[in-house]
This record gives sequence, structure tokens and C-alpha cells, in this order.
Amino acid sequence: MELNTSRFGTIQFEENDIIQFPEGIIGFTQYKRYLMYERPQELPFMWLQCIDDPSLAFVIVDPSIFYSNYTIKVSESDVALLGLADIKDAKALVIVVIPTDDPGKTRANLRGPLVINPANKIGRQLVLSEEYPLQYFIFAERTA
Amino acid sequence: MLILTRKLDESIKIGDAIEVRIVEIKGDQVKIGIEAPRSIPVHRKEVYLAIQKENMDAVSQNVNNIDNIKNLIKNQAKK
Repeated sequence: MELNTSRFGTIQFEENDIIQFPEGIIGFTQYKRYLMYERPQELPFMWLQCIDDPSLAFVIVDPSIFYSNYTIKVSESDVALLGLADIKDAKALVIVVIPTDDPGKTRANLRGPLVINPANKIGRQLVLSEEYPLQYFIFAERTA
Repeated sequence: MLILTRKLDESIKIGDAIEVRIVEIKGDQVKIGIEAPRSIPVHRKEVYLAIQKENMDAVSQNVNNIDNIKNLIKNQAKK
């Protein structure tokens, strides 16, 4: 299958690559289908490209790369919604904002992680309470 | 907005599946219990709105943005 994206031109994908967000991503709840799009030169950062709106994409990253003990409590109902057999199978990713005019202020949203079940490709944006910051400055925290 | 008066331990049913109950009243704080199907997300509004705004800020990024932080990543890796 092909998707004509606004950022990356035409990208190829398989049915099996589609990640379903049954409730969408908060603020974009009308869009349910996404792809993980990696470009080797950009790793560990990746893109979550929306299929339903080819101009919609988020920069995402595995938070454990810069935040070593990021553990989130996933409620029983979230485990059920994700169809997880074991919570350890879940993959957590966070959305990143890289300000164009000030890349040093790159921040990750640790309070609203995306949790994905790799087995059935179902994802959900969780809303955590206060324990993790909404805006975690990836570079500033390290250099401080 | 529909406004109903409730006392402690009284509930409101919304459709068949949702129940909202007043669990505790203490000064200016009210504890509310919500029973809803798993498919209906329930969130504190201010947290939900904050995440929504952060998501909105995240979508206007262009393909060069990751390039812009590459040097920062390299510097960080050295530490």
C-alpha cells in the first residue's frame, strides 16, 4: 500500500504496519490509523505518520533513552483496551516537540505517553497524573 | 448545561452505561466516583486540555527539525 504524505512524499507500507488508535490521539480523535516511520539518519527519533490525514505526523521517541526510570502505571482497563496479555509486552513512546527557532528547548511529553501493543498494533495515549512532566526538556535536563 | 442537585452517595445515570456518584464532600473539595465503560476515557479536564495543547504544538514540525537537534544528541552522547 502507498501513502502520499506531505512531509516524506510517497511511503510504502503493509497492512500489518498499521497501528490503530481506537480513540485517536488527544486533540485528533477523528484519526485512528497511523504508521511508524523511521529514517535511519534520525534515529532514535521516529515519526508517527497518520494515514487518515497524510499531513499529520508526530515526532516520537522511546523515553528510556533520556529518562532511565520511566515506568508508567497502566490501569487494568487500559491493559484490556490494548488487548495486552502481559503489560511487559507494551511499548511506550512519547511525543516530542522540537521548536524550530530553539531546538535546544526540545521537549518530550512524559505525562501523555503513547502505549502500543506490538502484538495487535493497538495504541492509546494515556493520561497520567502528576508524576511525570508534561514538558520534559531533553537537553536542558542533562546539561543542568 | 443541565444542572442537578445531589447529596452525598447520590448518583446520576448518563444513559445505561455511565454512573456518576458523589463519594465525599469535604470543604471545597468533592470526590466523585465514575463508572463508565472502558471504551469511554475519563480524565481530569485540565490535564486532558494540557495534553491536547501539547499534542497540537507537536504537529507543526517539519522534516528538518530532527536534523536541527542532531548536534545536541551527539554532544549529549559524549557525556
